[in-house]
Amino acid sequence: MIELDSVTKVFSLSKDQRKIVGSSELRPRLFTAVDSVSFTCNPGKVFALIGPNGSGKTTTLRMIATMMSPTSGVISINGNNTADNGRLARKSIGFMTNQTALYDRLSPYEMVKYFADLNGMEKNKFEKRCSKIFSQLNMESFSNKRIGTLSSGMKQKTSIARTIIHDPDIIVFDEPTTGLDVMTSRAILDLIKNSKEEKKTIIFSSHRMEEVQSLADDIVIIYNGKIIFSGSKNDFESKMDSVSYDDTLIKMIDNA
Amino acid sequence: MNIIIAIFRKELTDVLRDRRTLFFMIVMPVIVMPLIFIGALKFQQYQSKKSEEKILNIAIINETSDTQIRDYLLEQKGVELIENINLDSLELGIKNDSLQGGLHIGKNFLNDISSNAMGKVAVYYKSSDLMSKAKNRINNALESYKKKVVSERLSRFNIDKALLEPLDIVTKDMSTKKETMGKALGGLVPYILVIFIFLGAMYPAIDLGAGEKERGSLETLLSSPATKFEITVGKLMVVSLAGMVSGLISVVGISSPLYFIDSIPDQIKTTVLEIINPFMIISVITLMIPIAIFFASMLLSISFYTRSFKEAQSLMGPLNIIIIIPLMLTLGPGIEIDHITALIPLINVGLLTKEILAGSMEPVFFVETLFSLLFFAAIGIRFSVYWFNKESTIFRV
Repeated sequence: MIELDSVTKVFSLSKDQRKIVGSSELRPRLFTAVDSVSFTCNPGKVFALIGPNGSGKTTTLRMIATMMSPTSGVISINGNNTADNGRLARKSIGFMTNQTALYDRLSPYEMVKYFADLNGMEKNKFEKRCSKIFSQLNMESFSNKRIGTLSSGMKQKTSIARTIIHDPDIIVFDEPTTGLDVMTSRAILDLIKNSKEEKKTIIFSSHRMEEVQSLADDIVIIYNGKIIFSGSKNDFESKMDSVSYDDTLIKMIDNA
Repeated sequence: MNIIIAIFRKELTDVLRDRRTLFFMIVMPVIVMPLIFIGALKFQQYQSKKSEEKILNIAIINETSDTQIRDYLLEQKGVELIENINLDSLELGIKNDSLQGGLHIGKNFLNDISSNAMGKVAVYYKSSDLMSKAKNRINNALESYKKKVVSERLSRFNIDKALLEPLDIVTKDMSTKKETMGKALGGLVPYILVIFIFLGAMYPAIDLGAGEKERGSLETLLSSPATKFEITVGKLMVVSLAGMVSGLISVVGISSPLYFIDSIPDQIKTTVLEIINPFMIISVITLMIPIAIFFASMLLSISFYTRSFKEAQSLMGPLNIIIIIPLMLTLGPGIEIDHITALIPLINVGLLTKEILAGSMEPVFFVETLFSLLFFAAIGIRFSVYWFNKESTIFRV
């Protein structure tokens, strides 16, 4: 379970960043990327975090994965405050983005073994889990080849195996299908569905409303760091004036 | 600790499969360095031989009847005398390189010499022609003539030569061959060692920091249970090791020409091999460890800060020059290792290596140098960890 309670993240902007946002002030300017965000993701449900670019989705997910610390507020993973024990929180998390984020000079087996070692998995347990995942994903034929020589589909499978090797309770997907082809996207969407069946807690950010429609149980729309909608998929659909998820999202953002 | 070992093992495997790193860590010091070294020596020998064998065209304008200077010049090796030439042609010939030197003996020369005055001769040459020996050969001829004239004048006045040479100086060099050779090599070895530690550490540092960012793998690594401290230490260990291996191999690399260049006298070879003893090797390796850690921490910090491989490379390039400057200072006259210089990083390495190779190192300076280097290595590690902990560094956009 993931719980966010009034989580805020403030960045101080560099000179270059101030130029981008058009400020001529010489003093560092603060930028609130996430503003008092609260929500709960429950096990066995898929939670969609949606919003336009720069709305604070990635920052929120990075704070959940403890890569970043909130400026204020509390994030709890399975009841443990991430500020007190980040390592424990990370042991429960699998994190995945649209980038495969692999090491070209390792083999898929070595890659997955590395993350198993980082998660403190015992050798026997790892071997069993590894062969199960490799078999499910049909990875046996290329498990010892260098990742740099693999196709994008094979790389994506390796990335999935790396994410779930330690059997995390929570899986965080940051725009997992952005820029990917249909086949590769399908593998990730299947992973989300399977993880839901295994009663894991899933949170994903996305721009693709058709994915939200088919996968999400709960939806949060975030805009300029603030939540402008939070509720179940049914709640979202009840606010729809048209049949299109996209149009509803745009209307909500326009009204915010 | 298990996590640090896991990171170390993975990064080491990754680095050892990277051709670029292997080139700078192993191929460059093992093959390229000795080739450059042997090539430079052979080229220098060839140029020196060519310069010795070259026939020098030296013009002489002699307005006197005396031919002694001309005869002395002809005695010089590889000199072709050009006579019957005027001053304008002589000057023009030197300017357009058809002549390498010239000598003008004025018409009053003999009168001045015979009246015990100074006979005026003008020597023409080009100082920009570095390989030319024309000036030396003209001077040798004039020196021989000068000695003869002085000797004649002294005997004319019945003066003993000893009156002009009151001192019979006998110099006795008490340095052993090992000391002399050690001090000479001591100037070269730290350069090679430090530069190769730096180069060997540079590419792994870029790959393990900026490379991870570029691939997007840093994010997934940060989402693992490894702490930022463990990630930094694991990576630092690999980058330091790469630097140390590169440094060590470079020393082997520059020693190897000893076995391939026949023209190096056996005495020199024996002395150099005497210098490379277990004590010297252990001492130099002990110094290399903190230098490698210090470089690794600085390079990794820069790498963590940069957004891409290319940016990291452009920031690290100029550091090559910065690290050479302190080593150059150690070659200056009068700079010796003392309680102050032993505390200044890199300067202490340059000075202490000379002492180690000469076999004249005082243990107190070794301890001080090691303490200083370990201190800076510790600061480097601390800085890297601090730097990696900063969100603005890791997620710099």
